[in-house]
Amino acid sequence: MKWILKNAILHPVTAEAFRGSLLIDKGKIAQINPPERKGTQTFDANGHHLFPGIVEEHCHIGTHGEKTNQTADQDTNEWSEPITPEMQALDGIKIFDFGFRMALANGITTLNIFPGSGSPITGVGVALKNDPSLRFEERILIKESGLKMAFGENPKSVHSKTSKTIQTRMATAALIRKAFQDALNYEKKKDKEYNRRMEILLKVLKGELTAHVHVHRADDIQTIIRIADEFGFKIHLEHATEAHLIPKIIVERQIPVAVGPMFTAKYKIEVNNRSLQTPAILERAGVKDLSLITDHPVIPIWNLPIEASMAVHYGLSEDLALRAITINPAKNLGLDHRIGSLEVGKDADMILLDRELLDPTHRVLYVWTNGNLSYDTEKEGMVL
Amino acid sequence: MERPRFETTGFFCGGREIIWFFSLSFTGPHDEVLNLSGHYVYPGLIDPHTHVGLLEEETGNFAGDDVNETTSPATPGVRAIDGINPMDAGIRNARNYGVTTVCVMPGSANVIGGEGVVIKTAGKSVDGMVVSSARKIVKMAFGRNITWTWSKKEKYPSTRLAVGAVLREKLNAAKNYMANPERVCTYEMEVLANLLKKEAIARIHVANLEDIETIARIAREFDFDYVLDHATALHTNVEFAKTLKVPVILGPLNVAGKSFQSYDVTFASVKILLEAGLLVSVMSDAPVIPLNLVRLQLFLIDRYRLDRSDILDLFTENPAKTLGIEKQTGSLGIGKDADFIVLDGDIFDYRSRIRSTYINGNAVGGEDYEMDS
Amino acid sequence: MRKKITNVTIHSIVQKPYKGELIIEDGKIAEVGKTCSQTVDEVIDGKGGLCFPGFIDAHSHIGLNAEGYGFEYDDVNEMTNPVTPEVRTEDAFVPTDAALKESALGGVLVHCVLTGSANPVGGLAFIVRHTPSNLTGDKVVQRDVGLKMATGENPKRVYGAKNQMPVTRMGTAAVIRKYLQDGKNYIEKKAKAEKEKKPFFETDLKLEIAEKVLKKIIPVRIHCHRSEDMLTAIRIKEEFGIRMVIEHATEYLKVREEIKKSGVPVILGPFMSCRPKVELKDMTYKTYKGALEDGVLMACMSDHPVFPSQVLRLQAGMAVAYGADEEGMFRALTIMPAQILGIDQDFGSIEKGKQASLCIWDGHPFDARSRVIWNDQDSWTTL
Repeated sequence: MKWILKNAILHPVTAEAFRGSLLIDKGKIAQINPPERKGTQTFDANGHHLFPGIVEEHCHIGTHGEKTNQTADQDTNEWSEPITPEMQALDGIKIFDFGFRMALANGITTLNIFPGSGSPITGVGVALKNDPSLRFEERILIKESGLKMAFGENPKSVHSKTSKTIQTRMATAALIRKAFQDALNYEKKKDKEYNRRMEILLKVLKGELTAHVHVHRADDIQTIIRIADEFGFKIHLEHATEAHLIPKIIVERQIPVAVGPMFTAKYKIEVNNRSLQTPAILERAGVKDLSLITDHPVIPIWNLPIEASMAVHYGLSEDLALRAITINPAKNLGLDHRIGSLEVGKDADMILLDRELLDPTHRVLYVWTNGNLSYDTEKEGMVL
Repeated sequence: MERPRFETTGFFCGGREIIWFFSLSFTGPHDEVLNLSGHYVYPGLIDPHTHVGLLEEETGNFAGDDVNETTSPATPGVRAIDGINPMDAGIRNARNYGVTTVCVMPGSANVIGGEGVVIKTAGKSVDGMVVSSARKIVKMAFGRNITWTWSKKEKYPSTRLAVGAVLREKLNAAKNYMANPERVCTYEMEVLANLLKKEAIARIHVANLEDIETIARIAREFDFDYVLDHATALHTNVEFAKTLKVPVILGPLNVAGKSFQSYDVTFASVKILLEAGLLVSVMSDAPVIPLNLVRLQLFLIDRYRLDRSDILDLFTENPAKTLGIEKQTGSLGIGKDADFIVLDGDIFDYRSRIRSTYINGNAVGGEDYEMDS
Repeated sequence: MRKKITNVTIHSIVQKPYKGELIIEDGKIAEVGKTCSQTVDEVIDGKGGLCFPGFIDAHSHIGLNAEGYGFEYDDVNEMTNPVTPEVRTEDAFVPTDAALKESALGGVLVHCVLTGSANPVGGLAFIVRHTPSNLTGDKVVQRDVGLKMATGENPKRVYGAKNQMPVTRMGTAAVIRKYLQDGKNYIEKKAKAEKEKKPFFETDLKLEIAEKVLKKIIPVRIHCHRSEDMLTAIRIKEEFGIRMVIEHATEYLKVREEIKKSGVPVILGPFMSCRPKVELKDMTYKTYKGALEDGVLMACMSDHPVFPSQVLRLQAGMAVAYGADEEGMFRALTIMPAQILGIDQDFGSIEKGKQASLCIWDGHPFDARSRVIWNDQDSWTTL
């Protein structure tokens, strides 16, 4: 179906904002400022602000049960063993979880869902289009969107109790090294039986899959960089709470950084240096691959654009703040050819707001995914 | 309707009280002029429900945790003031981000948690920070927080059958105590006697509607005053809410639903209960929502497009009234404590910064202070 | 607002069924008969259905373990102390429990909610009716209607595991006796203070309830399965001169003479279940038949969630299959539980002046295929 969205202030993110219209065809953005055509269905945006759908690079929607019993519906952390790369977040997701609706109502149209951070290697994530009109399997954008790893306090506190394999950061590092060494040995072996655990690790070693590492402290960041260098695999830093203390290392190696959740208390020692200035300091140091994450349910997913706002409050440029919740996470997931900006040829995932996205008092008015209206706030109400 | 602000005038601080709002023609004796030209001045924010100083930040999860005395389900004898560390990062956050007064209370693991205290957020000794005009506070809790705590220990009250019974038993003991002419003074009983004499007010942690009903029943049976804290599901029955005629303190609202109990958490509750005519305030429950982020809830409530002066009241005058300190602070007025914040823009503009926070007429913090520390 | 229900067969319980009409005003039955003469504001066509009083489930834990919520919402038993008379089901009741709505679909509109049977002295029961409100207060029929007690395996199992009294049936009886004796002493102490005109400052909320029991203001609702447990209960009743209702009474048939002689009502069930405990070994549907024949005051319970309240009627139907009188089983779901609970002036039959707690069925309630198509709270209902 073809339709035109007219009279909007378009914020393509990858270019300056302008007043204009869009032609949507077969779920894609087909043309910018198309000529008026008779007979084509038209939606009047009344001069409101149109942004690309927001992309959440790191959350646990669906594996965490929203508003339900945390024992019955805790499917985020398989903490029975420390090394479980064969886990798929996909298998832990509750399809009808309320969190998906919460995300959609607040304009988040793409979700990358990771297993938790309870183990050194917890499993692979999945990237989903948050489009309720699609069957669940059709929503999958990338079935294996990255291998989740974790460093620091979480694997320590979990596995000192559950599997009794970790007491210190040293053991976390040793177990990760051993896992990758096992994978290398496995590859050399002849007449081997298929081992999914090893195959996933091999994909990381061959660069087919990126390791997304939960890490807070500067020393932990350096440890994981050391390990990645030893084995030669690619990493993204998740949380990276103390990244602003060592920006040089990150710039030199051009490691993508996903900062957040920025809105929690300093409830564990390793986040004591959390600062709302981290994104601004990283930008000033030259980091371009910055994205922001909520880690929902750690903070509710509606805070994702507000994290961008507060980063601006503390000095981040508006341009990078917007990119950090749209095109940058899309790029980190390898999806920037489809989502993350308003450009011809991309999926028509769009949100219409009454104020600018970075103004936290904005209201999401409409959400479109793949060109279809999937949330109408006036009819369905705000979810927050 | 916008409330008048003191954008270009200044005001005069004499000692700890505001003595005069002056126009440029003010010529009275003064030592110093604070020129706030171009700035926005608001009353210091008040957070009526926090655990700052008791549940400390930046200390891991044991050393600075003094929030729940979970050795008995009723501990009216313990006092928040004895556990508060005025050097806690949470209190520093409060003053640097505009919160000048906080109520600090024990946690929600016990039916009767202990005595809360209202303090200003600057000072090295907690005794000097106490807001003495505040009504005495007895913290209580109802519902599933209690049964989680005590069923794990296999101790009474392990179910909600017995939560109300614990409170009834203690209040009955206090009645016996008051009736006994030969009583021997005990702190526990004195605290509850204060409640029954209405010198103190009960601050009750509660989420579900059925538990709010139980509280209302017991409050009728024993005749005491109370405030509903959190009151997560109260907005689901507005008619019932109106009949209660008690202040409510909603929040923390900027949280994800981590249990069935939080099923009804929504910013919409603020709008619904304000429109029902209740005295509504908003809490951070800090450190659940750390106080450096107190404005986020203000921004998000604004999405419901309420009158902005009503939204400000949720964080200033309304909590002041709830705590009984409205004559001392919570608004800018002659004779009141000079607790105010100076912003370089509108408080609803996310770009505007709190340039300085004044408590009792002294500059004690601001966002730039936080950046330097 | 007066509403007339027409085109129904009225099963009033107190009379033989007849085709008739009834008028509801202010929630009460204003008129009932073959035809009703008063003018009305609204007429409800019963479509030829069967109009029954709402069934009364005299022993249930509905709302104490809200459906689909698991552990967090389990508030049936306060298993931390064998004597907890002060706990009240009203305080733990969840008025939004989905089971309440489902029970209404099964014709059950009134529930007596009791504490579980882990404690020899359990807690206070209360009675609710089905309404669409999300408030407990809007559902309450009567508060504090009985003190739950328990004998047999349950208290033994719970406290035996903790090496705490009671570990045996003897222990259970002793715990109950001690509680009641404490109550007697308490009454005397109070009376003494009053006599000497001294202030009484030893009010004890646990013993205030014992006082109510000993003064026969409320009955003891005692959980018994085995014959010896029932005889122990009756023995304690005689010793203290209290009112009592025996709950479950699984082995009723073995001691029917003794129970009849004691005048204690029984609330039978749930017999539509398996026999996971030794004390359930001789459970049989024939018990209903026996109790009806003996003419004792008897009700049929679900013990929800042990057996779902929604299908309480099927248990009564099974009793009929095992020889019980059909009309008697209807009384065991309506007027007899109302009498046992002391709410028969308002509930339990279709009579002028009573509450319009009514259901219209599209078929016989004991037939699993039948449905409630209307009740006084929800109007037209669909599954």
